[in-house]
Amino acid sequence: MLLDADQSAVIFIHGLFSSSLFWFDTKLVPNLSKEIKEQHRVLVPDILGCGKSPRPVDSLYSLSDQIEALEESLIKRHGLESFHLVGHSMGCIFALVLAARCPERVRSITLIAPVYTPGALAEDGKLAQLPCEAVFTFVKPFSVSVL
Amino acid sequence: MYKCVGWIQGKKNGEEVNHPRPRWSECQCPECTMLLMPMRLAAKNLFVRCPDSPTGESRCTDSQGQEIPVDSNLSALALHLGDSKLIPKLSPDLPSVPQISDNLDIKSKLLETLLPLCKGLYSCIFLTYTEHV
Repeated sequence: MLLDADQSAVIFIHGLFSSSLFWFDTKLVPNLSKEIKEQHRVLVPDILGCGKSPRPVDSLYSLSDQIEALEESLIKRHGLESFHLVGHSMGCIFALVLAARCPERVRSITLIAPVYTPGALAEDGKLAQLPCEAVFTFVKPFSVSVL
Repeated sequence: MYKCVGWIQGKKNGEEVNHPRPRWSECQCPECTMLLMPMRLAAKNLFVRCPDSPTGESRCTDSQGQEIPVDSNLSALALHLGDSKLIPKLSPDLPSVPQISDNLDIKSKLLETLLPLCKGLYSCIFLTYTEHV
């Protein structure tokens, strides 16, 4: 079912070696309030190669492939003009890149247990770099351009 | 319907044995072969679960969690993990009080970094840290 044009969406992006069921098994999506469910279309994809999503044999499952699939299957397919992003772990990287590519459409970002890259911590174990900065350093080879 | 369970039944010396399932890209079961396709097709065919899809609906209906009132003026989704690791819980006083990290230094840096990315962002960002590094 495609979205109504005036309805905003909430996209939940799971982490590595997981699937969309993560959001249901942890009771997070089921526990969303009735108001949220009524006011937002909740979309919970399986990322490429996970769960029931396709497993293309000619893909490297790179960040760009994952972002392309999320954009094609969610944003373009449903014509999303306004949406919230919720990411868990590796899904946080996808959420941040999606936000960077379509800043006008993103209403909020929720990062749950975001990824630490090695550069995020100093030798003494203290936070040397914010996770989001570290992530963008990490994904630098991938061009984050606006949609 | 046949379901891929990670092994294939076969016979060896007349006895039934279970062979490990081949690599996913070589598995011949209907479930796996159905998912094999070129990237150009795969990109448009991600499986998307919705709470009102058959599976989602049953899971939502079966949920024992309590629904909480939400401030309708708050346009962003409010989620909070508290100090838990992966098991989320909704805090009853959270929906109307968006919270960003108590650490003001981190908070300001976060806003500096993230806000320019999301021109439409006007609500909350939640970060929870796990100690798995």
